[in-house]
Amino acid sequence: MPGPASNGIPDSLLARMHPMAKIAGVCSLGLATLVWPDFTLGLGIIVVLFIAAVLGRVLRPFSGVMLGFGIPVTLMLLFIQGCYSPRNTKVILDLGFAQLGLEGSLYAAKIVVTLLVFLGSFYLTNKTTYMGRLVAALTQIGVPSKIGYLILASLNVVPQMQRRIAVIEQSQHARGLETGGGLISRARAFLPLLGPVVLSSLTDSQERGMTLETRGFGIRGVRQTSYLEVVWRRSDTVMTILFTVFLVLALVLCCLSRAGLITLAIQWGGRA
Amino acid sequence: MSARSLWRGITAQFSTKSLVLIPIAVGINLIGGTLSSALKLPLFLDMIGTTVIACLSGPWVAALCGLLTNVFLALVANPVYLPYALSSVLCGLVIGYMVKAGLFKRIWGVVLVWLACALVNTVTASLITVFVYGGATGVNGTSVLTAALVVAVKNIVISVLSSSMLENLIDKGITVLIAYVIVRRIPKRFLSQYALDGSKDQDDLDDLDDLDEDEDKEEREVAGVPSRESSVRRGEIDSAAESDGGTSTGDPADLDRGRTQRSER
Repeated sequence: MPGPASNGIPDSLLARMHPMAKIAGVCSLGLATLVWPDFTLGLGIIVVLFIAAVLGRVLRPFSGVMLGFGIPVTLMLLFIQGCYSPRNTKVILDLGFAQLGLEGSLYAAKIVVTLLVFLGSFYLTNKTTYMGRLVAALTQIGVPSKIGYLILASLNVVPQMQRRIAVIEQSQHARGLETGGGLISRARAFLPLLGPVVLSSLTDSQERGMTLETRGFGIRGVRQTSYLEVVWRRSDTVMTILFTVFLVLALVLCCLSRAGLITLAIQWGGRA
Repeated sequence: MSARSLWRGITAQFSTKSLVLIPIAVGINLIGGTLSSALKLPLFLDMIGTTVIACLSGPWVAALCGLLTNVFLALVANPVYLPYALSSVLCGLVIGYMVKAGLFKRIWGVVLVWLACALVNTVTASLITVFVYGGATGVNGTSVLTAALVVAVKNIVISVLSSSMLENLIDKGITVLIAYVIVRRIPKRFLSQYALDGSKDQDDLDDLDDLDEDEDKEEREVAGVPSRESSVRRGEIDSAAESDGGTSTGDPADLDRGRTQRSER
């Protein structure tokens, strides 16, 4: 499985973008959707995200995540908010046991769209960014290198622990541990599998700590250098400015509409 | 306690020794989740590492560990988990301070830790579910339970709260129990090196000496779980504890009573 820890990221426009510019994009698109009074802007952004996924050559996993998350959550929220939201006044569909209200459904649509914009842009950023680059970019802008170490080390430790747990599972099998059967026997298998992994990882961490100390990890007041140089190019500046302008525009339009100067939200089902 | 000394206490917890523990604890959190899904248990069990590290390195390290776990989950699994970092962080802090107060050494203390943790998690997670996601995230069975409850009681907040409470009581109970068993099995030599960080008095170390005393009692309680792999090491620790036990204390029960009063105060 090509996780974000491995460098199996297809080369594309998105992959060459500076990680910070991408994070600015996530924030700007997400916040713009959040402040917009209804779900239409978010819908547009989702279409744009799908186009970006094509450009980034990650369309297949991207659409998998968007649909796999989007469909169940839409159904859930339409049911919970649409039928039982306290602000429902106008009934648009009678299901027999419950009535689908207009206001709740619109609210549910807004939440789903906002979630999908955040999820999609975050997923695109994540899939097209090599983690080492992201951490290097973060330390460039002044995040402590210890935080960077923690993120990278967590990413490395987990596959390592999974390998170890596979070994331990086999050896416990050899000793006759049952990992199948009823709920009780499966629950009882939990601790003999987890215990050795935890204890051996703790011993490992002791060695790791000493190794890091001897290499000057704990020294304060010095700037660590990195083998990975992340260059900020002109296109990144352009993209960041575009994202900022977009967010500011959305905010201004939203404020104007709150003040009643212009109408943004489409009045679904006629004026109330 | 002034703000400055509080801050110094917090930064003292972040030694290199504790920092290298954090990725391990994040790993334990995720492994717990993976294992429970591999064994097809209907639980998350994704706070075992946070609880263990709260016992080893203190509340703020546990909080950072909780935050990183959710960041990691968001990176590899589903960004939905990111807002729940708040409840992980709060849980780490609560467990950490309760452990610091000495509650993790007695059964009733462990029960208190469990209830407090479940309560904190229920409240914060439900608030996040209601205000960020509008009632359901659709990533696990709890959403279905919430939907069923909404039909029954016709109130979104109450049904989210109650389904989350049910889930958390069971999940955190098992999490705390497992973490308790694991902490008991960690060799004393290993535990003592962390106890020095961030604690100004010698109390914590004294308390650690007593860890072995009720290990036999503990052993009987988890007798259902095979533990042969650590029995050899346990034997060594027990004999070591016995050999220095003669010089240190008189009646352990008196000590326990004294500590109980202190932690209640």
